[in-house]
Amino acid sequence: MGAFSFSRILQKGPASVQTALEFRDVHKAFGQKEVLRGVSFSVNPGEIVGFLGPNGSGKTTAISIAVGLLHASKGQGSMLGHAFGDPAGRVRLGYLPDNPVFFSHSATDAIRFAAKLQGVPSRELRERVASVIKAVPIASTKQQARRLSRGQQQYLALAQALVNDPQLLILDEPTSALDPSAVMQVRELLKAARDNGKSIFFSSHQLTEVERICDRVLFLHEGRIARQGTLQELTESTDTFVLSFRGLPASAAVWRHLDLAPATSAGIVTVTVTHANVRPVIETLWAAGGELLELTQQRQSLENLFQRLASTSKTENQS
Amino acid sequence: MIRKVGTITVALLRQNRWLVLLLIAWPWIFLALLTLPGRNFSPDDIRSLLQQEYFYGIALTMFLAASLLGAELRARRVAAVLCRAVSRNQYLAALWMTALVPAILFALSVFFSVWIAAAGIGFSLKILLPFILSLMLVELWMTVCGVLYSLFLPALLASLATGLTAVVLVAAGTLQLGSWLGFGSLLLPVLQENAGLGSIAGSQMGIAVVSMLLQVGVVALLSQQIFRRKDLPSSGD
Repeated sequence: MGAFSFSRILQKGPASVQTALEFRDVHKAFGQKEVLRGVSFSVNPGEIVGFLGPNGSGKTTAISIAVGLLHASKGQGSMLGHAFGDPAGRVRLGYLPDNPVFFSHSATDAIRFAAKLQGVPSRELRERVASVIKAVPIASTKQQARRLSRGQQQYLALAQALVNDPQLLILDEPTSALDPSAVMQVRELLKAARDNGKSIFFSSHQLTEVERICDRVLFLHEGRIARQGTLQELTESTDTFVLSFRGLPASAAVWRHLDLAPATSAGIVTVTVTHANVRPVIETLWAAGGELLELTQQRQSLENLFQRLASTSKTENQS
Repeated sequence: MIRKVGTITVALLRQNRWLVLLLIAWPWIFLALLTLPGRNFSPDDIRSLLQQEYFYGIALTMFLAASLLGAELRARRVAAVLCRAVSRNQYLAALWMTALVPAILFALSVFFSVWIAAAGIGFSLKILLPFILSLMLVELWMTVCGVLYSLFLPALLASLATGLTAVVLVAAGTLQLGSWLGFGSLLLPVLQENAGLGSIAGSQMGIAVVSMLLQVGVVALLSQQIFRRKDLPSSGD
């Protein structure tokens, strides 16, 4: 199996100031059920934006509206300068659905099929298809696409999404069904695409992946953008601090007095306290003979944030 | 535009290749059965053969047209096409072509099989051409009507609705209420066993053709408007 080198099929994108993808107060209802409730956000050129949310939050619905499969009930949006639903906006789009399906084609024909529908000129068709096939580790390009393994189908769908040298990539769970080394390679692809000025919008449940590559993250919850911002902004400080001490065993009575549960590692005791308690705790432990080694403000991981947002609304629903 | 419609049509035809092959082979199989050694083969047999094939042809076309979109939606292949730089109109045109291409091949298959069979038994080929044109026209009508109903009905109901619409139009023609609709002029000679197929090529043929082409145009425009507004869910969320 050849090297996985998508970056060589991605050409430098044109310098552009237009927003790659924009949602403006988009609502979507299926009958009485409102799935999207005023979603607004944008994806800028050369940016990787992660789209997170629990199952049923409306991620795939939002993506389906962007690619023109669904119509917004209210609000509007644009993709690469064209209104949602306008096929001209999809000429430079690479879309990877969450569960790719194929016609009765071989892997090569499936890529050629996608290229033709994306309007790749006939004179470039052979070259584009050949370069994508070279870049994608598909075991047998002559095999029926539908008979490939799930992981191979994911590669094939990714190849279809890249065959037109897209300016915007919309990827719905791009690393599902891929093994860890392939996940790493897809990560490199996304970074290479960004470096070439492409915009990437992708949904994922793999929060560590999102943390590693995204410039910005959107949290969709129950049809609303619950939080959005750069990773720095979202994982910014919480109200808690971690204190590291030495000279005080975890069994010392002072810990019980402060009602704290310390953790010990290599003779260093660490405790987590809220902002308001930092000073009294330091003073008490200092007086008891402890030596403060480190004081750090705790940052929350995306996972914590994700769980917190999900549980908040669960509580709201219950009440 | 044409390139994309052609690409999608070829993919859809490949997907339905067994039905397409059946449609093309059907007239030849039928003819082979009719001309088995030891059977007397007369012009009446050909007349009967044509009548039967006419209805098999339009029934299969109706079923294919009415079931195409539903099958593609169930398999989620519609999303795999329309997420690319393809307009709804192009996809709709591909659906029509996918039902129409086998229908036309069927009509041509009927034409050539009967032509060969009729060569030595004195069956007048003068009636064959208008007959085949009538078949193609009704197949075209069935195609657009079947696809229209399939935009909001499941395959079986869409087929029934198409068939029912055709029956109503033929009945209107029979009762002299709507001879201008064209259906009666084209189908009645085929329905009436003793009327003779040659009467299709009567004076009303021209009006019938124009009228049916207009109906096809109106139904096609209506389908475009409906399909443009239709939501095509790709999967759950």
